[in-house]
Amino acid sequence: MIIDDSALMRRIVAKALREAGLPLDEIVEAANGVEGVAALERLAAEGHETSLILCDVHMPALDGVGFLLRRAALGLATAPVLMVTADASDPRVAEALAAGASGFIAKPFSVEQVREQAAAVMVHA
Amino acid sequence: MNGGEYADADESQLRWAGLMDETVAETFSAMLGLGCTPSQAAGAPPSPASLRKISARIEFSGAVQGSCAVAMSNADALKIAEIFLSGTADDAMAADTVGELCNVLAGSWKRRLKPPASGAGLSVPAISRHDDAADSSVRQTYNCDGAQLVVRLIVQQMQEE
Repeated sequence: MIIDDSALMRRIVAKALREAGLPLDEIVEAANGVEGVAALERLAAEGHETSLILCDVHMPALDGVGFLLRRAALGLATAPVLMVTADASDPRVAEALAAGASGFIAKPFSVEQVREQAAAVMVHA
Repeated sequence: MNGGEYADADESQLRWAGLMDETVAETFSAMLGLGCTPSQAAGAPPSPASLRKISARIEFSGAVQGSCAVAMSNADALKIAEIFLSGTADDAMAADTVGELCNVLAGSWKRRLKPPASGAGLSVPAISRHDDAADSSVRQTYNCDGAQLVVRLIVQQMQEE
């Protein structure tokens, strides 16, 4: 799953994931944390397993930290989450790690960096 | 720096400009597989399409006071967006591209500064449909696969060790 308010970034990240050759059946996109939680609930209800979430830090409606906290409160914190950020020193990144994110990918990123970071946290990669 | 626009630049400005050159090269290489080098603006008269500008600005806060702005023609932004996406892009994607480039360049440039400036805060990018040609500490034009982008840094205050 990719959660980002930028449609461009969602497509860039999706392209990188595909080119990285990770074992992903489907890539679900959400434009903010609210949509991300709704997508997780829907996937769980349909019996689908989410293997990886790439999440922006700053988004309207519900940001990356808010998404992490809400999914944990709903018992949906099973998939590893990698934050995607242009500013690794942003205090919100540290807050996201404290709220359950497994790590972060710093922009600019290469396909190889996405592959390495994702494989490191995905259970079945 | 090769052929930049650094007339009257002091030592700090030259260093900031060099760091921006590195940042732009890294960003385009990593995310687009493209070379992107400093250049002077082309001497040919601009076409009407190239006069339609998109610019994005990010404000620094904390140990850096100032801003980073990126400006491109609408046509060049579309071109870069289509390379990003490996497909067609629309005007909204072109604006998104300029905003995202500004975000990545601002973040990567300040990461190269010494602490505490490297930990300065970033605003979200503000997009506009014109190029605000305010006085800049550093102004550089880059050529990326035939597309041109202008990066401007305004540094009012910076704290470095």
